[in-house]
Amino acid sequence: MVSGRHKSRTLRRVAKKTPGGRNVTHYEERKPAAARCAGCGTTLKGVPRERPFRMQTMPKSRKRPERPYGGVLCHACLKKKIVAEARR
Amino acid sequence: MIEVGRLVIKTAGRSAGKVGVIVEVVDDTRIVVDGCLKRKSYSIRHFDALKDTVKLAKGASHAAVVKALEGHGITVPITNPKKAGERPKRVRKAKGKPAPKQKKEAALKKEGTVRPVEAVKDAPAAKPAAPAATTDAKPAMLAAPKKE
Ligand SMILES: [Zn+2]
Repeated sequence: MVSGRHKSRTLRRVAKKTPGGRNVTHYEERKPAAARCAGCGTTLKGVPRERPFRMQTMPKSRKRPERPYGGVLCHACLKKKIVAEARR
Repeated sequence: MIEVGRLVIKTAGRSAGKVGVIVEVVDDTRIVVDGCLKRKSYSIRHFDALKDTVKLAKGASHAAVVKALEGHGITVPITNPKKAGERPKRVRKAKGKPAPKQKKEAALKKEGTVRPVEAVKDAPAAKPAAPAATTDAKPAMLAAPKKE
């Protein structure tokens, strides 16, 4: 039986296998929502869903695509933007 | 639209937004581009053609491309990779070495194995001073809380 504070679904449940072979449940904080494109709203690829501390320890190049507006716009919206600027 | 000398802008990848010139048309899907981005063969789908054209021979050199782009007010950044210098060698700090020696001497003095003559000489001078201070202080410290 879970203890009372763990009955709430505030924390997510993560199944872990211990070194001794037991199966245990760990209660961890939920991950933030996936990053979305500022132009069209689709989920961005290549932007990890991690808690702030994990994001801090990661190198910059692992947190967003290396192209201009990487992590802000999707590739399609970037192409539209560049073409529009070029035509102007 | 796709021809040698046509200015193009990259719309995909790390060098998106950079301007170049078509130097060679390989086939209907690939072009060789030079300019503000690396000179190599790219897919046509990664570029958007611009209005302007430049007079260039097929397979023109990088220097010729740079000159032609300067006429259009586009300066090509110089990307000569820097030569690697000598690596800084690790130098051990000299601080750490004398510390253990001093410790050893102090330890030996405490044990009384080194220079017993000096230890005897020093002892009478040091002993009376220290106990006197402590004996004076102790009664005052003990008496103070009792009075209060
Ligand atoms: Zn988008």
